[in-house]
Amino acid sequence: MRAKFALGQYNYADSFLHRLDPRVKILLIFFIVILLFFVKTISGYLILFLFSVFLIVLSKSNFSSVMRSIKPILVLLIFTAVFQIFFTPGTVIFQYKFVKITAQGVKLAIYISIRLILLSFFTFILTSTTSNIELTDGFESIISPLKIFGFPAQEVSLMISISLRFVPVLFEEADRIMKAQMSRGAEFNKGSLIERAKSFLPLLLPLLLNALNRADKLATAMEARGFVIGQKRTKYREMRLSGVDFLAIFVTILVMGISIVVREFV
Amino acid sequence: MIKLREVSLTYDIGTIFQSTALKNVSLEIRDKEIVSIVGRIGSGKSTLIQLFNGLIPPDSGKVIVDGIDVNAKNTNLKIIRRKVGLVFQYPEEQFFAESVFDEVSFGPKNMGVSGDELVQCVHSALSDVGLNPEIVSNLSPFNLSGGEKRRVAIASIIAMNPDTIVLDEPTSGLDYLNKKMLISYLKRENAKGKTLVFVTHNMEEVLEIADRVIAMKNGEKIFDGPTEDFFFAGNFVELAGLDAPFLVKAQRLMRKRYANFPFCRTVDEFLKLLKEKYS
Amino acid sequence: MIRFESVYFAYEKGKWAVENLNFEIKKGEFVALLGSNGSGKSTIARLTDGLLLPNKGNVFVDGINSKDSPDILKSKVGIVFQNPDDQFVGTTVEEDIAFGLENLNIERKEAHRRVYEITKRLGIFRYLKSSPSMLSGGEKQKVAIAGVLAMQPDYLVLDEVTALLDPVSRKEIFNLVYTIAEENNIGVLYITHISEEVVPVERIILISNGEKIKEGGSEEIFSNYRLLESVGVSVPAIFKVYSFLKRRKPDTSPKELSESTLLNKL
Repeated sequence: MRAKFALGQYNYADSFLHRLDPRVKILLIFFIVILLFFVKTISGYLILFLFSVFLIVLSKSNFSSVMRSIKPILVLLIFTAVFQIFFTPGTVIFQYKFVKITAQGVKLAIYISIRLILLSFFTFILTSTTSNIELTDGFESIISPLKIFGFPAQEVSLMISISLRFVPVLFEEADRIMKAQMSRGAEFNKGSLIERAKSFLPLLLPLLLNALNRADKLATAMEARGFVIGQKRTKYREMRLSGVDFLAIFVTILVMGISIVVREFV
Repeated sequence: MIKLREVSLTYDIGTIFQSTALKNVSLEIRDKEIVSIVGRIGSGKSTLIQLFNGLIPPDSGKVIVDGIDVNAKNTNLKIIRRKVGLVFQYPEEQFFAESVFDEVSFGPKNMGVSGDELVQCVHSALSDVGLNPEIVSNLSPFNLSGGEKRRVAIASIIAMNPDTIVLDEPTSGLDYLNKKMLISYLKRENAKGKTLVFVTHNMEEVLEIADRVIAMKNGEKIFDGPTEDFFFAGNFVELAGLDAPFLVKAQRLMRKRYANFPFCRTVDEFLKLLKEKYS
Repeated sequence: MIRFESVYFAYEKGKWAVENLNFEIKKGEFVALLGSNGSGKSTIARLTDGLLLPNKGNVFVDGINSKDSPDILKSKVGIVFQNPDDQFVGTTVEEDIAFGLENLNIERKEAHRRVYEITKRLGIFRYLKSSPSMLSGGEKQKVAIAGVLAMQPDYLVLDEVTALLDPVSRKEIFNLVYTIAEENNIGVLYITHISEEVVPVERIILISNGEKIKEGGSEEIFSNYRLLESVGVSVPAIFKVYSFLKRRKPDTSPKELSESTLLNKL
């Protein structure tokens, strides 16, 4: 039950993608996501789609977990697609009473859907092959140049890492407190909106108080283990670029370039 | 009366985390008994008690409380939760109200109790756990001592006036005096006619107050019978992966030496008998 | 040596949480601190490594006054607290154990060596890559202890580390700490409210309301039943049986205060 919360999407496997330097993965995926908004052709998207499928196969993930990762954005996807179809002005291709569908609307809806799906594919590839620690480490390293401007890169990344570590704890606790209050006759999904909001108080308040209490104890424990804010610390884990990283960078840039310059062939 | 009939439960079916919590468990909790459910972590004991008031439905099998099928579609779970009061581990972590009174009245209020009746049941629940309602009612539950917090949390279940009180590790983290006090209050609830079920890994407590023991291991029931048999009719304690306390080991020795050496629940009882035997 | 010299400490004015406390722990010595909830045990733990500083009196660790350099104390004295869940910083066991080493600026190779060594010694090596929240209570506490032991402290303060564990794990943790401290010549202050646990300890300090009531071996500490009851500490069943036997056979010595020898004597 708790295992689900603990792991997020990370898939414990050993693949080419798992072995890449997290900084390389974060940056490449970041640029691909930006690129998604500049590609103007269906063929460009098709190339990116095939590339993402190729990466998913390479990462040894199974497709059911990919589909599961799309689920949360499905509502958003349908909503925006429908919105675009009905409310984009242009050449009317279908009309029923006051409902109009335009060619431009359909095209836009398709583009947006493709973008959102590709977006979740690529972020899935990142999060399923990169553990939370690697993500925070990579993130810290990427933002570390900001240190010259006095930005506390190391502390920020430690903060993110601690928050990630407490996610499963909080979920477990929420589950327990919810059940405990239900045992006292509480109901969380009945009545008007205000009544419902009110009924969550016995869940949220203890959760918040316990979290504050934990944070306090954690701060003491960290201090006891020699942690001082702003003090220099060594890094336990090492990140080093290797040949495979350069290969990955080269291939990705190539694919990105092709997807931008490719002509429409449909 | 709570009945479980061939109950099975698996968590996270179809994922790599799939784990069997309960395997074909049948049992009965009879009225006015003190039953202890024991086992190591992951043995299924905590899952078991969440079935008693319908917090989790089983994959197969039936849970029946006073003749009502808990997981039937038309069952009002509120009625079940009023009959079976469940106290979670570290129940003081659920506090949210500004005063002890509001905290304890949350349960009965949800059950539709109001007015003088509400005040009445909150006060009597607080007295049941040895707290003076006049003094504590207006205090913040967060400012109490550890032992008092635990008692207020238990009072918040007693206030719903359940027939059965089910507790998950009720004395966990408490020191000796608080433990002793809590156990005496729980025993008194039982004497007043409440059924008591408690999950614990503390064998001394089981030895001291349980009428009957249900031992779990890897989701299966491996023992169900009188407390005396659990400790002395074989090595069920060890089979369940638990450690027999010194008092049990000493009694086992004396039972070997003297036929009919009586069952002692506390070390003082045991020493008294020993004195008689030796003189 | 850890030395408390007439130490007073108060969280709020006029209410001493610790009052005129004197005691010593030599390097390599195992000392138990026994007292009920709210007797000041945790405050004493925090005073030993400079997390709290005395209002009056002094705390010395190897001659260093905690008021002069609390930071040095933190590297000499390691503390483990009651609830391991409130002490974890890392998202994996390995990362968590490394946290203190990073703070001490231990060089990477040495840090890896220490993490592997200590996790092998405590039998948690196979969990290195797991999330701490997936472990059982006893295993979690081993991780927390490993995190402190990896820092190679001269003294170890264990603040109710077994209070939330089941009796089987409780015994295991106690025995583990006892032998590791002996192997590495670490001075230990073992804090608990469970009297059964400290029966085998040679020197026990009994405290109540922040004051030392008595100091000595099991025999001296546990023989006064009435005193123990008045300070909220139980008389271990094994000790009651021992005194019973001693009354009948006066040659019974405190050395025989172990389960097996007492059972033989019954």
